[in-house]
Amino acid sequence: MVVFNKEEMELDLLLLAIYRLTGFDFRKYMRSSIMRRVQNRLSLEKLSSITSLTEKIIHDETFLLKVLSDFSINVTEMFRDPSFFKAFREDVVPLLRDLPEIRVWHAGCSTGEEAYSMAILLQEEGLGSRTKIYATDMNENVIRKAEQGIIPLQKMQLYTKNYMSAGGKKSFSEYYKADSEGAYLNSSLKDNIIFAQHNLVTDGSFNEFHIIICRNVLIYFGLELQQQVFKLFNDSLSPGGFLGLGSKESIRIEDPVLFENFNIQEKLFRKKSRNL
Amino acid sequence: MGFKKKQFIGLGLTVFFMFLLLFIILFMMQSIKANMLEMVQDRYHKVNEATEIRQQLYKNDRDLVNLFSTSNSDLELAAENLQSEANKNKINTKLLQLETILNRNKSKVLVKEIKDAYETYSDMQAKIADQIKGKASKSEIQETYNKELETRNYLFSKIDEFKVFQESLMKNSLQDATDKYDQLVTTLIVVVSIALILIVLVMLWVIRSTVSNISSITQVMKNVDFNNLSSIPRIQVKAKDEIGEIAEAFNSMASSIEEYNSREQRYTAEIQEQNWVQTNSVEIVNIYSRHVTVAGLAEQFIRKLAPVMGASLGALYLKDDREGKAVFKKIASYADTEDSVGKQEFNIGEGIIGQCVKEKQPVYLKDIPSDYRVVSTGLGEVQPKDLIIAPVMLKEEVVAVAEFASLSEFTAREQKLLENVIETLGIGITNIIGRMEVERLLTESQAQTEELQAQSEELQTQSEELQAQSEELQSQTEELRMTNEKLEERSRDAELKSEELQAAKEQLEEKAKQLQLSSKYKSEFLANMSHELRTPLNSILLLSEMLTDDPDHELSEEQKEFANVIHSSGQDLLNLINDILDLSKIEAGKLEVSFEEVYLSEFIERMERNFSQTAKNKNIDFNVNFSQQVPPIIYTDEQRLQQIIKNLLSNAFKFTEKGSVSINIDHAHPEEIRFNPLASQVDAWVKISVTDTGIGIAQDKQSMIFEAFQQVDGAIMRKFGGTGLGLSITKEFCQLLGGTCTVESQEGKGSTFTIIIPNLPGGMPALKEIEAAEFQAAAALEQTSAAGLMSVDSVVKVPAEEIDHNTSLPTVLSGKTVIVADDDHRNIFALKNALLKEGMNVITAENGAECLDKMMVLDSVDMVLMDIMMPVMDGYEAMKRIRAINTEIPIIALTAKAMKGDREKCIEAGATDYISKPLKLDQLLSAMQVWLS
Repeated sequence: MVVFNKEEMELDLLLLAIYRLTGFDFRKYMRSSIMRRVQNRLSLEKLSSITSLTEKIIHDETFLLKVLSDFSINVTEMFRDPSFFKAFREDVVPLLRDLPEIRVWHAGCSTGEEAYSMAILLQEEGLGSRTKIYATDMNENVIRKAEQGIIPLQKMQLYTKNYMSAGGKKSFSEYYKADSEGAYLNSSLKDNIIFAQHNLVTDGSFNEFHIIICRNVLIYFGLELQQQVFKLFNDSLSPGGFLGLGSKESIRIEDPVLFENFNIQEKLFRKKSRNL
Repeated sequence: MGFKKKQFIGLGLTVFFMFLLLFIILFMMQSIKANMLEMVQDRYHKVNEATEIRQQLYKNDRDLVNLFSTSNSDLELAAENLQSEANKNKINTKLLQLETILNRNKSKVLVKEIKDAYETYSDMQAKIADQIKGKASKSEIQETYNKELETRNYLFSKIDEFKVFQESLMKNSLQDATDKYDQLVTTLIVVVSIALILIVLVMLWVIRSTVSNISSITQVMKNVDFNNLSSIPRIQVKAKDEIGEIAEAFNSMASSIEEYNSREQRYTAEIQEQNWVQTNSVEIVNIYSRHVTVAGLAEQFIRKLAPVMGASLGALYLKDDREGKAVFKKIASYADTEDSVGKQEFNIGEGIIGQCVKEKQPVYLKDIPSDYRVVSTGLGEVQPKDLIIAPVMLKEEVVAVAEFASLSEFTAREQKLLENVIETLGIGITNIIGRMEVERLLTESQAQTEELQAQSEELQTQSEELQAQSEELQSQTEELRMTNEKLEERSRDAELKSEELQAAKEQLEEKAKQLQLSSKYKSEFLANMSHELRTPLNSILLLSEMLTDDPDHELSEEQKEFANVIHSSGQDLLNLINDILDLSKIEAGKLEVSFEEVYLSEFIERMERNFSQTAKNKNIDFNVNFSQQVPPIIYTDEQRLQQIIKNLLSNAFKFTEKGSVSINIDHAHPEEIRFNPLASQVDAWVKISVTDTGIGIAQDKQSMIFEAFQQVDGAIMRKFGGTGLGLSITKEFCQLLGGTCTVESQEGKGSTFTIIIPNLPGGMPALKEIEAAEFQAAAALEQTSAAGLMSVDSVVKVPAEEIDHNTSLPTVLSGKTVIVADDDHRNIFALKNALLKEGMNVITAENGAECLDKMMVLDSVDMVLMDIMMPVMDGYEAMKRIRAINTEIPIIALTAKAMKGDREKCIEAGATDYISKPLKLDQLLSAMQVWLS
């Protein structure tokens, strides 16, 4: 007999309500994370219980959107964890050179910074014209934001440093124009990127990819959901395709035959089967 | 008899006979040789000796005979010869020799006779010799010789006789030797034949007895079955000889081989058993590594072990520490159906199995009680015969218990196997539990890591939200700043005006100073005048008082009244003059104050006493309120303070017709002394306020009342009297004491005069002019800022749209200072113009060193654009040196694209960003925006 505390039950009801209202299913997300987000919202709105929040979202659509956007954590950087991109450039890129077309899927791309980073990287490696990057996120707002490719000036300082640490071959300033509002990424970078809404929880595979990058997304998912997503990734990867995860993530999956370690330090995995 | 002995006897006999033969032969040879020697040496020698002696004698005799025929001359020589002892001795010696070697009596007698005859003969010879010497005649000699002829013949006969005797003896000896030889030959033949016979007999005996024993041994040995060494035939030992020993040795060997063989068989069996145990153990141990769960392991363990052990039932119970109480739960079983099982779990000490856990020893049960659970087969149920319960130990602790039941008895090796695997099972189970624990911890830690990451991202999101909010705030602040800027502009205008005002004020002050000076002169004049006036006035007063008293009663009432008027008028005049004197003294700076202890309560009591009568007269309430927070003692000029309070109280009573006058003593609030120059130096301030319910003072008149010679209006002066100098003096005194005097009043309702004086134990501190000026300035600022605040309020109301229309936001670049370090003048020119257009301040440097110098001099450099290839000091060096003094400032390196490794070198040297040449202006500006944002 599992003992629920009331708050957990309230949360269940809230998530069910959200699912029924929007089709977004957060029930298999990490409980603790979702709970924190909800608590955060409660304290911001000065609400006393989750149930009152549930009531509000049912009757107030703007509120529902607010809670939805709470659940979408959009933390990203260009060349986030530069060593990952460096390892990708040095170890993975050489294995891609013979491919006639390279399809990359950035699952949970948020505001697209990493997708743009990948576009820059592959362009510098001379693979730009052959590359198609599919950048997806469940949150349409961030996808729209990603499509714009506008980055706050302050962040560009960090991104420049990241770019340099990731082994960038040119000046980072060649990839953007800036004014006092922000930095605008070159539109040529967008040529290779397809932005689309896609929900890892509910949607299936939509293509076969050589590379799937899904960094710091699975940390919000519960174990069951993680395994479901790993399965999805495995189904969506071509044999020998690469999967890149976030620095703190790991493949915690019952069936170890799906993936093998490629660079465990940088969380690069490879679908089993040698011929790419 | 031993074989050795036999051999010794056989061979010994042979040797003995050989030796015997040898000795017999040698002995015979010896006797033959002795005979020969006797014959040859003795007999022959003796004969020979006898012959020689005869020959010698014959020679001697011949010599003698010859004497007769020889001449005389030779005679002597012959005589000499005769006489010579040599001859004689030769014969004697021979005779003696012969005598010694003779062993027969007859011979000895013969030799004696010969010897005796020879004596006689030799005597005759000697006689003849003497005769010759004595020149005897031949005849004489002849005669002598003839005399002795008989002797001579005898001698010779005897010698011959000896010789013959000896020759006969020799013949005898030869006969002897021949006899002996024959004897020897016969003896030899006999002895050898006997010996041969004996030897053959002995040999035959020896060989026969040996061979028969050996062949019987060989026969036995041949019969040994080498394939089956368990029983070896024994040799029936008869002989006590070496063969017998061999047989004995063989027998003992056979028995030891048999023993060895049986032992070997035992060992082999043991080894086989051990192998069996080992093999099965290993097989079971191998299971451990293949399982990741204890249940799987247990299942496999039981399934594997039970058939190997011949068990028909098996179960494994695992310890489960539930709520601190160890319970053993069944996790695997063999040939066991759910319902037929006895216990699903048991506690320590519960039943035999529980007892087994308690004792940590395996339990073997042979006589199983009849109600013990039965083994089900397809056809029915059987009672197990044997039962083993074994605890699985790890580090002295029971972690699990295995139980097996068999229809037959468990063999030793099966028990051994169980003991073996049970030992390792503990480790296996613990390993798996450990592995599971490690796995669980790993998973947990991974989950925690991910959770942390999620949290950190959430935090980041929150911080981004916060940042967004702060950005919003920033933009609001920006708007505020804009309005502020406008306000500032306005306040600048105001400042300008206030500056003008200041100038005017300064002019005024100048004039005031002049005025002060002149007033000082005036005051001095007045002081002098007053003094001069007082002297005559004193006499007027004194005299008028005397007149009023009229001690002699000479004056009429009218005259007295006149005198009284004169006195009171004089008194008024004196008061007036005193006031003027005080005021002028103050203004002339001649009044001195002395700070001393003042007991406030006493002081106030005194004041109360002074005025209580007046209050009573005027029918006015007089209240004194003394706060407990006031220090009991303050240091000030008591006389002046008294004057001040008196002034204020007399004023209050003067202008109050009904109601009350009250005096409040309290400590001053910090707010109230804010602008006092002594505020920072004095810790205690006393506030004394005098409140009345009198006529009050109109708002516009309030500032005037402290001026000298001012009264609210002339009518009042007329009504209430007084010089109008009291408040002026009060104010001046207050200032002298370092305090202030203020008024609050409402016309018709009353006034409150408040003085605040400091406690100055060390006297009046020397106030610097600056501080005084600051005091003034602060006061002035207070006024302006108050004015400013008012204007802020009014400006904020300006609609926001208006601001947007009026101002454009400044770009990130404008107003920033940048150093452009480049040796190419055209570059510098181009960059400078471009950056100036962005509203930047541009400083140029032609090399790194110059750039550094300029950075040192200027404080507010926001950015450096650094060319790399420069004379004197290149960009790398310059960047390194800049970084040594300033790690923050953004440096954008302008690198020549062609050079590989430029990028790395730039970053290493401390560049924040780098841009390849040839420069694109918008790229440069973009990067600059990024780094200056």
